[in-house]
Amino acid sequence: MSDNTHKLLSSLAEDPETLERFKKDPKGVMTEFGVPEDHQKLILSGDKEKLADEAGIDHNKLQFVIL
Amino acid sequence: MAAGRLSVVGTGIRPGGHLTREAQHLLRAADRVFTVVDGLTLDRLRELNARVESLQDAYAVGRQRDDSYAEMVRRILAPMDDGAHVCAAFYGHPGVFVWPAHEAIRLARAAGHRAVMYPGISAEDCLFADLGLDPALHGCQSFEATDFLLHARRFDPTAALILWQPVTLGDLDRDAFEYDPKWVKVLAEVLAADYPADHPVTVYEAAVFPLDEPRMEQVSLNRLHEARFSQVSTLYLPPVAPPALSAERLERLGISESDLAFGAYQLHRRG
Repeated sequence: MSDNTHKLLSSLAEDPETLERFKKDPKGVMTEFGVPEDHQKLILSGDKEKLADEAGIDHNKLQFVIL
Repeated sequence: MAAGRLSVVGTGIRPGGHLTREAQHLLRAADRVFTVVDGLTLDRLRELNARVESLQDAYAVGRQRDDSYAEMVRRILAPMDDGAHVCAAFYGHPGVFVWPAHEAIRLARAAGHRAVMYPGISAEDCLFADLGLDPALHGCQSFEATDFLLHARRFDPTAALILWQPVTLGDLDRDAFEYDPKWVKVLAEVLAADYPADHPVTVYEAAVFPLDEPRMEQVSLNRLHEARFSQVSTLYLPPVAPPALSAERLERLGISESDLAFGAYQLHRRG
């Protein structure tokens, strides 16, 4: 995953204001962060599983602490 | 042996977004960081400290969870004998449903080290926010689902009920992360002694990925066995009715109902 895509995802997770702006204008915010075209397409496609997999937060590949 | 220091922190549910300022300070200052978190959070931790080690490899298919946890605790404690400051970072709140975090604190203190747990944002905190549930309103009971099912718990159906980790229902060997629908059905039957058959049960999952919305899927109690649970699912049952005033207790206190000034929240729950 590119640094800029990573920065965007981190910002969306950390900053509710950026997330709100992203919901209104995803293309504009992704361009602002310099997200590569292929990742922009992936994000806009709504394929969250693939995106989460690329970002390394796919729950299916993680084990969480369970008592 | 030099005395070491253990700081146990929670990274919350949202990658990075729920990381508290004090946790960030501890993560930066630690000599070693051990962690059980998602990949995005792991990257964030690596920005704070280059010496981060994921404990995910302690898990293995078919391995008993308790063995995995024992290994995690061993790895967390090992550098402390050389006087190191170790930070153990777990997703969510490190003290909520995280056995190895508590065990590491206990063993570290027993070995003469300084060990402190710092709170984080748990899945239950997210549930309160997403479902608009205030535990002050009805009271709130929280149980591990299997523990609740196997023991004849006395609980109050006029208070909120949260059942954690339904994904482990039926996992007798404690080495899988899959539930048995038969167990779910029995759980629903047990609950049906105190709730109507069509009582709503919310299968809740906090939003982790930034583009996700929380999962808040409602299913009636008698169809609970048809619901799909993941590792991060939690069940929420709203109260069946408001609590009844205790005439016996009012009498003991020498007051009547008309003497009580009800708060806005109490009036709200009465409808």
